[in-house]
Amino acid sequence: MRAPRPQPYLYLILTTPGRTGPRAPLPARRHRRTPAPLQPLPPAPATAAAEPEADLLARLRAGDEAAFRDFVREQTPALLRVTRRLLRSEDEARDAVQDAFVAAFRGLPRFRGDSRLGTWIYRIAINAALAKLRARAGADEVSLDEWLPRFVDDGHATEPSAAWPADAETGAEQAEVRARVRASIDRLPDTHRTVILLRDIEELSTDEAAEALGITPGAVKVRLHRARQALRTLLDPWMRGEQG
Amino acid sequence: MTAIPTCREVLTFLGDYCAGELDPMRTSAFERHLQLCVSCRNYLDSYRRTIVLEREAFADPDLPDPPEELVEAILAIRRPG
Repeated sequence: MRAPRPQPYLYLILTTPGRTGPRAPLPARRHRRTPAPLQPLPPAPATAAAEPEADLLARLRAGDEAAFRDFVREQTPALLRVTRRLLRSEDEARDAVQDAFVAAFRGLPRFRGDSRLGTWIYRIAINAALAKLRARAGADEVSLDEWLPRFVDDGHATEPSAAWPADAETGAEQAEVRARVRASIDRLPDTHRTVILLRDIEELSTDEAAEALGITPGAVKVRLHRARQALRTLLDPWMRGEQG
Repeated sequence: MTAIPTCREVLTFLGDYCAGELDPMRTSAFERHLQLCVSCRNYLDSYRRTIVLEREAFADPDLPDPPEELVEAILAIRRPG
């Protein structure tokens, strides 16, 4: 049996308000304050979904074995998908999912219900995967500089950017395009690959990604932009048909 | 009126421009540059398409059933003994 152990990195995330679901699109600007409504708000449309959620939470808190089984079976596929993406190792991805559930089971009494259970554990799993990434020996950090645009002294680009043909993506098999893009993302250093995954693929907000990564929102923006620029450079010859 | 930015400035702040996070004055200066500079227009187009390609590369609507052995291992964590 796995010995539970303290995992302090998880505590931050346990009380953080989250999204409405692991893959739900984020509201455009959640941090904008809206004025207090003058009239009572109509009932939230999520009421129908909230009842089974509250029921599941109550059953989990009561230690209902069937509820735990439902919860684990329902959440594991999405958690495994995100931990696989981040870690690119099946064993480590599964370990991260287990770590997430250990933390979630322990954190249930403190779960305030201000996000959905699925969102909550999804974010715990991201943190667990990021902790494993950080713990890996021999960081693979390479510089992105060679893949970033270069400029001459007056601020013009050293080499003008050529257009990508309009049908570049559709001219190839979709599976081939996907494989090419994923392989190119895998060439990025982890510091930048993870930002692409969290922001562009998992659709965390800048602030959420910053909190998960332990860096400032400004640093998330810079890394994301540089990562996209590097990826654009890696795809550029292929998209222009120069490389088979 | 804000001066027209250089290619370096445009490409450095392209992420903010695409996210709609530049102030209106700066946005309009960016757009004046883009009107004049085919290289930056090409870059902007390829930058946006890169983001679309990323999302398509990971578009994965079907989630498989969870591995049973993993489910059992997780459930075993909370059982006493």
